Amino acid sequence: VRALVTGAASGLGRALAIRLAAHGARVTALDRDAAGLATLPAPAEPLAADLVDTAALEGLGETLAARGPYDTVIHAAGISATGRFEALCLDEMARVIAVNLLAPMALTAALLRARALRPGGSLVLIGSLSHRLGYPGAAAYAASKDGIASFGRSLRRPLARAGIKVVTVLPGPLDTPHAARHAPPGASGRGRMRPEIAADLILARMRRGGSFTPGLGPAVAGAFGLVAPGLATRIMHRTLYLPLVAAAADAGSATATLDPALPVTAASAGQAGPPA
Amino acid sequence: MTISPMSYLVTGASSGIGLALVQRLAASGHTVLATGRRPEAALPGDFPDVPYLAADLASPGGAAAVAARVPAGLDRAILNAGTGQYRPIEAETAAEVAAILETNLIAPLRLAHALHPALEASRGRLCLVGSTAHRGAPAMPLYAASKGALDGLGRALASEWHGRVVVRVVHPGPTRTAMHARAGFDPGRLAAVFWDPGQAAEAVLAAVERGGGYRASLSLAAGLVGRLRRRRAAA
Repeated sequence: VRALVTGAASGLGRALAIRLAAHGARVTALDRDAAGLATLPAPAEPLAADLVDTAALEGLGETLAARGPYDTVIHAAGISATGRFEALCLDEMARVIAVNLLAPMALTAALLRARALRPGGSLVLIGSLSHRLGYPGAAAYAASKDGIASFGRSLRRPLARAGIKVVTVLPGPLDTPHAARHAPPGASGRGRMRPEIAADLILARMRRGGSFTPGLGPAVAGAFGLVAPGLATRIMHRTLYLPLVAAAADAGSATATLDPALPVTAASAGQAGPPA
Repeated sequence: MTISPMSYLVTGASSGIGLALVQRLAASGHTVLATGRRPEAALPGDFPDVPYLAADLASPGGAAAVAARVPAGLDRAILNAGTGQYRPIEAETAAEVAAILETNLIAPLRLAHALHPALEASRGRLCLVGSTAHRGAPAMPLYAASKGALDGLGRALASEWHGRVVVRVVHPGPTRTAMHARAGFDPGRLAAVFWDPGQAAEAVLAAVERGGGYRASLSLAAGLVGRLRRRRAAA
């Protein structure tokens, strides 16, 4: 059994890579963070690559396809940029779109073209609960995740013909470095799901296809967003956006939280979302 | 409907719904700045007498050039430019994925960013033209994803800018424009139930002015009802 996981050095991607390996899969683990990949427990095959580098995606797709064919492909790499839209830097927002939306679509195209996804396998896209609730304060992130959800719905039927299941995961807040970076300052972090638990739920569910939210609490929040989308977004405005704006004002600057220039780019997985 | 003259920006104005929009706006006496990718000399003969700026919105300089030309108090920005291909996903290269996202998502994002001060100054409205394909379209997954993303952008902006700038995402259903031919799709007899660009343009303009939620879908059913009404009005 072979698997590919992007964003595998931390957060949800890491948890997924570890669980898959524990189940006996040979995991190709991709991340920009080579040091993080090096700390994965054994059978993972690391591949350090930066998904922000759009020009390199075509070649990366070929490299990944050559390591296949895969039974499971999981696009877990994701970054965010939070703050008032008009105060955020355009390049940073373009990077969010590149990592969260462009890269998974381009890599999926390359893998399918090379027949590197086996019939009977699963393509797992990581969206966000923000698809159900809206996400003021992270406009580019929300856009990228809604785009992924549309992409998943579009692929479902064509890939079903090839025997491949497409599943779009819409996770709520996870207890990951990503969530900690982008939550409003002072957020307790209570109610964030451990990525290991989310990973188990995703792996148990992925052979069925469709979209789902791991965990009862976040799933109920998502259902609420489907029934009352306007009210759900107003609640997000009050609980996420206003605290972000207030914190930015306190800091005496209009700038907001970007994924820090730590290893400058793609890949800490895990989703921001509403406070549970 | 009589409305006092306002200033509009319309992107993607050289054909399709964009062209129909500027024709209607010019005829109603509004001030319009139109932009498109075509050079001015290549505009269709029925393009109205309004200022036109040839700009490639898929380049960072394009959005800045457009923003520099809009009036200080812009009342309405209708970001309509879009592109798409009827192609299965395995036929797409990374460069094509990037190009579609650049035009359909990054360009409106850049323009929304650049136009925010002008729209806020006039308590104006921003309209993003999406597509009902955002619900998922097996024949054009990239296009669907770009329009889904545009919907998410609009939803976030509508909430962030609440009380300052009204944001609406309008999703037209299939419309008889040159995009289908360019995208490699012959609708054949299906075209009979498609929206015509003029009808879609009127629906877009009405959707921009109405109240309520950020999203307005122009479904085929809504189009047929509108067509019947107009036929009755004409009779």
